[in-house]
Amino acid sequence: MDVIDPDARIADLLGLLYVLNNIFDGKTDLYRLEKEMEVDLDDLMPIVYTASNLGLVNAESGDISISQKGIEYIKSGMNQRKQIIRESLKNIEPFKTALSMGSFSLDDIIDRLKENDVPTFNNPDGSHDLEVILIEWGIYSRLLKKTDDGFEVIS
Amino acid sequence: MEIEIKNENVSNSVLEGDGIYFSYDNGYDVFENINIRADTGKFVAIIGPSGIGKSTLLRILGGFLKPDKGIVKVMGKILHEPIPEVALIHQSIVTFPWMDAQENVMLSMKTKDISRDEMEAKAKESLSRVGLDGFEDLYPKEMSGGMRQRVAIARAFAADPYVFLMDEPFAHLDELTAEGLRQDIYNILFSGETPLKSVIMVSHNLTEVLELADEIYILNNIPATVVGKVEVTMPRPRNPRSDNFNANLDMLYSYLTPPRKKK
Repeated sequence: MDVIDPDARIADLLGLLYVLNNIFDGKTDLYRLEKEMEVDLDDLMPIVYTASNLGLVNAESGDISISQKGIEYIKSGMNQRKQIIRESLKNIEPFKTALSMGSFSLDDIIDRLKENDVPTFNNPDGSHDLEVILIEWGIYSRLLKKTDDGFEVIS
Repeated sequence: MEIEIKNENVSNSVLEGDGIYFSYDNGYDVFENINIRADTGKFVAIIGPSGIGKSTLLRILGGFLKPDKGIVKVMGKILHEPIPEVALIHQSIVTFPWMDAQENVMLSMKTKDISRDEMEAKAKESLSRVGLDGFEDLYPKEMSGGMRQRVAIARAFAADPYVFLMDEPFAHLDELTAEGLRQDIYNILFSGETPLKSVIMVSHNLTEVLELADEIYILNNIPATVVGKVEVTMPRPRNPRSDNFNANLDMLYSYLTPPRKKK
């Protein structure tokens, strides 16, 4: 089950890909990336996991490399970047579930994610985390729009 | 003290978590069969991705939370609730602003049946142990963050614990202060002048973990399990710029990739 990490910020994605591509020629050890970015585990891994789930990097055995899609992302303009994120989100949670619902309230999608056996948001902070992800990733990429009582998938 | 007497402790184990399972009230499974052991003289670290439950595990090991299944043993005896022999040091630096350093340290002895003179002497000794000799009268607002964290450690020492549970103890310090405290902390903890036998620390700073730990447990997956245990054999003091140090960092990251998956 691939999911957007609740602690992954979209602003960090570009930074990760730029550093990986421009400083490390696209591939390095995660510990070197940590030192270069002057971050620690809690800052680095959420965006690494999320970038991996989006298909923008490959992370395996302590190594990380930028994918062809990741290179395309950093070379693109704003609209193209949003499209890449939009298409990538469709295959990972919570957006896979969101697409199947069309329009939904926060409570509705939390229930559906539970039914779909997605545990990430089933914790005391889960509702807040989910709302932030839907807004930050979904609305940014124009996959979702906000409605009076929740969210709606943009067709 | 609410600990159940079992057979005498025949092993080196100071604190053990055996077969720990834990779920939130809403059914989210946090831990599955976690086994962790801290032996005499060992500095044990627990690492894992953000949100995996490291602090929750520490609270279970301290008796502050009950596991759904499994037991925690301290010196071979089952732990049912927090006891003075297990001291928890929080990531936020907890000092009380209306008390000076000595009074802050004396707090941990309030439940003991000892005189005020004895408490004051013990507090002075504990403050001296963490390098705050002569600063007994300072109030928290007059201290740096590093000094306040030293007061918190001194307070824990004053209760004569067998084991320290440290939850991101340097997280709220600036890097220079944290580095200074890290350099001192191992020697302070294992000076042999106190009953302290072992330390378990949770941290998201892998460099800090490798500087301090003898053994590192790596948590990953949903629910969290121990996916690896690394014994750190580098001599002390450890140089974070050495090739050996970087090789160890690389190994820790290898346990943390690919992304955590639901089992």
